[in-house]
Amino acid sequence: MTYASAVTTPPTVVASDFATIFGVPAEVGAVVREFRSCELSTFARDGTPVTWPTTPFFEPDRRRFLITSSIGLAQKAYNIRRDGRVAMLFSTATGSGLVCPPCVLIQGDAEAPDELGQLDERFESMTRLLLERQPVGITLMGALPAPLRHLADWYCWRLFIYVRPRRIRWWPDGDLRESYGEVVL
Amino acid sequence: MTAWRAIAQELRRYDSAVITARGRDGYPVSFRCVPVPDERTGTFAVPIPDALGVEVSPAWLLCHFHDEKFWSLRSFGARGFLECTSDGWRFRPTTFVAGMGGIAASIRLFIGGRRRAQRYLAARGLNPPEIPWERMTAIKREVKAQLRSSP
Repeated sequence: MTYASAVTTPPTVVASDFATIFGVPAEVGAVVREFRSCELSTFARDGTPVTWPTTPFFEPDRRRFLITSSIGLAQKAYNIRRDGRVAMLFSTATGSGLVCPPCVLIQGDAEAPDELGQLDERFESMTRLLLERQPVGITLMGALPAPLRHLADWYCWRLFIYVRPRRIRWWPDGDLRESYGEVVL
Repeated sequence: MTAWRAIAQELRRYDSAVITARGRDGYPVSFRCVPVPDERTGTFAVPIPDALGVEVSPAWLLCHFHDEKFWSLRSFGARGFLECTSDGWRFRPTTFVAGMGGIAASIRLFIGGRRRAQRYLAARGLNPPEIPWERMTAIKREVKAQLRSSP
């Protein structure tokens, strides 16, 4: 099963769904599947957490998230190589189509290998999903004439960052004052 | 302009912010809230339930936006500290960090990114993979057709 098909498969049918794998409610799985971005936090050298939005791809067969980052924007990878403790907050529902989704906080351990990710089927699958969700990307890709495309190569030279969840918390109405659900792995 | 003032100005463009601090277990903890500016103290009041388990620690504030089509991206960040006072939790900013949004940021991203990418490769003696532009163009066409045919 490709990543794209895994994330679009209804949760009732699959054993490869985030919710099934980690024993969390289907609504939490839907957030992970449908949200366009999450807020990824890493630790800087001085111990300050640094948080920027990113697009995570869940790999059900490996029970981990894959996040890619251009080698020209590699600070999060450098941070992870020093300290692998990360957090991913899913709190931006825009574009997901979900109504009143839970807020989901996943803490985990990340790895960021030095070498560049392969531009293989997995990469193609991610590209396809991203273009489906971000149609402007289609226009941008076509806007650069072929002789100038090498100027944009750097953006496609990607580092692959892997995050294994260790603690998942969710707030059913997104209200942090209310009690939350939790799974510790 | 102080970091506090820059953040207070930018915050008006967003509904809420994400604050990240260190949790009691040593991992980062992020939560979404509506920071309330307090010019007198140069801080932002942030409501944090005890159950979240955050500690007084270095902290980060992030605001970001994208539209329904995952575009019109804009963001900014801020370094600072999370403090626990008699009035509750406070984020004390030290540095404003520009993010995405606008032509200047895009140019900065493109030029700086390309330069850093070349340095990354040179430092490790890596040869970059050839970008399969033809395959990516084919994927682009397929997705475009699929989006046209979907309701």
